[in-house]
Amino acid sequence: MTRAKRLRLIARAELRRRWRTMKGNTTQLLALAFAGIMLLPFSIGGVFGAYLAGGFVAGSETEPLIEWARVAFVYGWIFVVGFGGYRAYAVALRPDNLDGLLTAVSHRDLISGLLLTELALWSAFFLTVGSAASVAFAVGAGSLLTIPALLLTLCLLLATGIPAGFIIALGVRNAGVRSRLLSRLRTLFLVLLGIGYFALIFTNAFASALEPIYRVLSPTPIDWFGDLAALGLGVGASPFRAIGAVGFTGVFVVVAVVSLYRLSEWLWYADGVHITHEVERSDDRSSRFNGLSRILSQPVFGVVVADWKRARRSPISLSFALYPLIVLAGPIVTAVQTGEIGTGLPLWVLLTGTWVAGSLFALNVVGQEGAALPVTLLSEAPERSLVTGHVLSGALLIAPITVAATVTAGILSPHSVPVVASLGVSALVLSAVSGAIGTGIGVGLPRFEAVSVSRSTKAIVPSAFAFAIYSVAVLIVALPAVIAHSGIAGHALASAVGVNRFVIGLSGTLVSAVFACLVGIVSMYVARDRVRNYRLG
Amino acid sequence: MTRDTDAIETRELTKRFGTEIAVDGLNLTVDHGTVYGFLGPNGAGKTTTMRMLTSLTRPTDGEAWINGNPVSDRDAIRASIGYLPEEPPVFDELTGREQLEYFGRLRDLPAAEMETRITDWLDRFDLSDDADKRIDDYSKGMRQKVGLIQALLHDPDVVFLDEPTSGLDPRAARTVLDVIADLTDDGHTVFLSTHILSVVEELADVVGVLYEGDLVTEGSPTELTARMEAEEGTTLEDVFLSVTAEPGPAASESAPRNTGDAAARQDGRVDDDGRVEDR
Repeated sequence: MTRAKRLRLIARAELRRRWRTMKGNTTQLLALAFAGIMLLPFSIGGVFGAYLAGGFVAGSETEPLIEWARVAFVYGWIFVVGFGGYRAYAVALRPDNLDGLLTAVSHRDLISGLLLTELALWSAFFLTVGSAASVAFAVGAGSLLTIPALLLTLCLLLATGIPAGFIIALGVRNAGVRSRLLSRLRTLFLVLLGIGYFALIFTNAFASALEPIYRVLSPTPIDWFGDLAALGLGVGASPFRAIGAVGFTGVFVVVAVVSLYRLSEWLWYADGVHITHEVERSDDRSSRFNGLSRILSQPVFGVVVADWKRARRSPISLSFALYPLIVLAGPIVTAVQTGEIGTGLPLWVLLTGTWVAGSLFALNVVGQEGAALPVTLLSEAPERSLVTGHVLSGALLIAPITVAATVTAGILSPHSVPVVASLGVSALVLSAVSGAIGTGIGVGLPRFEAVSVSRSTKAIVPSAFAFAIYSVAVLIVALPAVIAHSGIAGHALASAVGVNRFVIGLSGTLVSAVFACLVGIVSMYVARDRVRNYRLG
Repeated sequence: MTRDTDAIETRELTKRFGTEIAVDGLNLTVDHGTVYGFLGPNGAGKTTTMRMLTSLTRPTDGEAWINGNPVSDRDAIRASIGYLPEEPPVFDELTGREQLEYFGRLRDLPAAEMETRITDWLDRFDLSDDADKRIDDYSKGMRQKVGLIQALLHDPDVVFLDEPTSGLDPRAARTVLDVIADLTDDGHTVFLSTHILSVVEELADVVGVLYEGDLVTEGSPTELTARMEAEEGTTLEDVFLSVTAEPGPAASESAPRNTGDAAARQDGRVDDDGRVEDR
């Protein structure tokens, strides 16, 4: 078999494997379908926008246009490198059965095959939509020469950007497997990266974050791609720079391939650092958990301690709890930007705290036992220890934070002190009871199999349906308290009934508390009954 | 525990998954203080049987008792059984000691006694030095050891072990075999499912071979090899291979399959072709 055939075979097998994996995952398929539906109008809009841009170029001053083209293609290159690098780090450089592949083909063939896979995937979108946009732009600009120029530029962008992304990803992964510090702090780095990413989204600061990178790249041949794309438009593109872009690509590809060979060899044949997670032995009863061990029964105490230890050592398995926090990010950013805390923020804090408290440990009581489930079911009264334990794990951890944050935000808001007190009671009751609400839903819709919580980590998390139903249930239960404490509705109710705002707030708290307790009791009863009589098949 | 009952007894125990029969009318009894070697090829129904006997799976038909208590009453049997599933029941994020403490607490063992037992078992399985390392750093054999300790931690009367020596090195496997031998010396009953015939040959008082849901032969290892009526040197492996062989068209007529009657099967013999016949 020739080398080219081998590379094609690797790429084809990898594409087929990924497609079959995705086909078997309903959530991923839905996400893909959703992305496709979202991308379609953007793509059509993009093509139409390219046509309009072409028309604009045809009737504009030449001087700033070439600069715009250069800037656009440098940012385009940064985009390809960034996303290509991310995909390489998270997906492409982790092929299934790596050992088997490396004993069948050389690391050079393997990295080339994986690169070819990514190029094929990117080309499928880039070159189809890109071709249509190029034609539309050229028609709009009235310059047919622009079509091959733009298409060639797109190809060169991929030919340099994707390998550059691979090189960065390989560099990061090589550092990760060799550095003890990076290996230990991997989770922390990922969390910080995630926070930074969301911070950029919510503060609309992407452009300012990318600007330093642009400044570094603009004096390099990457800046020449704009000239190649604009060749034929008559906007002052330099033919020398355009030819230079092609030459640069050739040189870059050669250097990149050599670098990829070396870096992939270093990664895949590395004697990486081995981190042993040694835990200092401590008696749970005589240390941090002393107070709890006195209050709780031995089995319930065991579940709470195990939940907290597992969560602390594998926080990424609780990443689904980020969804409520993302909802909270909007009101917080608004408060930071305006410098004012309105009456709404304490309600958002209350709602998200309650939401998180119940979802952390109580939403998959049966499923999250994983391989231990058969043995857990044979323990003393598992229905009591598991259900009560998981509810308490979330409530004891999150309820104090929710109450403190709600009350703090309430005091800083225009709410009166009595209303803040009422809000604090709501926060306490709802965040303490939300876990109970989650248990029954969770046992009705359990998830046993581990799913990917990041590109490289699998964990058993609650099912999406359970999470959705639980979210709706919590929202409904909390609604009376939220409405009664909200600025407009609370005020309107107080005026209509002719009582103090505090009375309205307290009434809302009472209704929500009674409602939450009733739903929680029923849900826990269902959960306990299901666990008590649970059979494996 | 009532001594006038068998440790394990099943009567026409059956499990169907839709139209597929996993276990078909299983009848067996296991005496107290014995090791019952449960053999069978992959997919024969061994794990399903163990799950029914441990109350983890509900039988479609038939009944089973542990120490005279029906397996349908989980509360009545849970204290007297220990179970090592095929996949070690561990959480990767916990240390070996924490995992055992978790199960000890779920079993509501008194704290001091739990600590003593954990320390003793960790010593016995040579895990003391690694007890405070996280299980995701453990080898397959170490995980298996933790799983085995949890099955024994509450000192159950009847222990169900699904492939207990899987993944263990010869020294660790020897420790497990010694532990099983000691358990029966102390009056415990062990229901042992394994593919390693030498383990069964060494430990089992009675061997039952399950094939496609049927108990196709049962007896002591010596009885089974004797039933082969073959030349000297016949081993349990020869018996296993013969009773679990796919019957050919001609042979199938002369090799009636299990009818669910254990007594008849126990009286059965192996014919010259190596297949079980009813007398």
